[in-house]
Amino acid sequence: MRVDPDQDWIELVERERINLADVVAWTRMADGSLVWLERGNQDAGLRHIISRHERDFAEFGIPAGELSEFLIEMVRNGEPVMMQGTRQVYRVFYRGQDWHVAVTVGDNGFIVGANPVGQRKLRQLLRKQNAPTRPTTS
Amino acid sequence: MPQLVRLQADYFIEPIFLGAEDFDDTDYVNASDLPLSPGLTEAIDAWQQALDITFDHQFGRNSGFKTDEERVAFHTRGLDLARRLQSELGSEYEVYYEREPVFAQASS
Repeated sequence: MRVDPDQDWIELVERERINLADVVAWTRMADGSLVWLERGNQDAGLRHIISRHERDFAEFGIPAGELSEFLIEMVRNGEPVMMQGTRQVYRVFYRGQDWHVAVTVGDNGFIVGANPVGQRKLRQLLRKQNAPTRPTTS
Repeated sequence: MPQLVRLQADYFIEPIFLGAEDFDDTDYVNASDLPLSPGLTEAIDAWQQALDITFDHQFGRNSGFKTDEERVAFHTRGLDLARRLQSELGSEYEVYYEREPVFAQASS
């Protein structure tokens, strides 16, 4: 039986009443779940990310004019590498180098926010990830 | 040259963006990572939590304040905190509230 790989997305669009004209990018994550980025508003989605973090991304080297393109690349090809609290951190290869971005997603897959993750935070997360677990006592 | 500090809340991330001289240290930090009084640290943490509780886990899209009054009150509180930040950090830091530079709160 042939399985249409887009069938789940079509069902999600219908279930969540997604306006396709507002969708900037969508993808299936490594765990099989679907996420999508909409143009959004000041509190959630692409507009929110740009208004909140355009300058932060610029500090890390993503010019404001490229932020939308960068985020679309992250959604389509980003690789989940670790968790930062409740946020998933993705590694994305863009313009010849690796970048890390923390993403906040609703349970339905709607991308609410995203912010760059710097080397300082990565070092902290890696230390935490590699920390030996405390032996349990019975 | 003063260090850049930007106070700006977003869901579940540290509310302070620190532009460090050493680029490797540029990142989001918690108030407790800066030399601040316990009172201001707690006030900034509480302000961040006031935004976090507006996050709509189920649908995402509906996150945020439900009324303009709530939004304005949140930003007024944030601006006040940014001014207190500038007062406590002194001239070695240049504090912004979101995109706007702030000036130290005059002591009364």
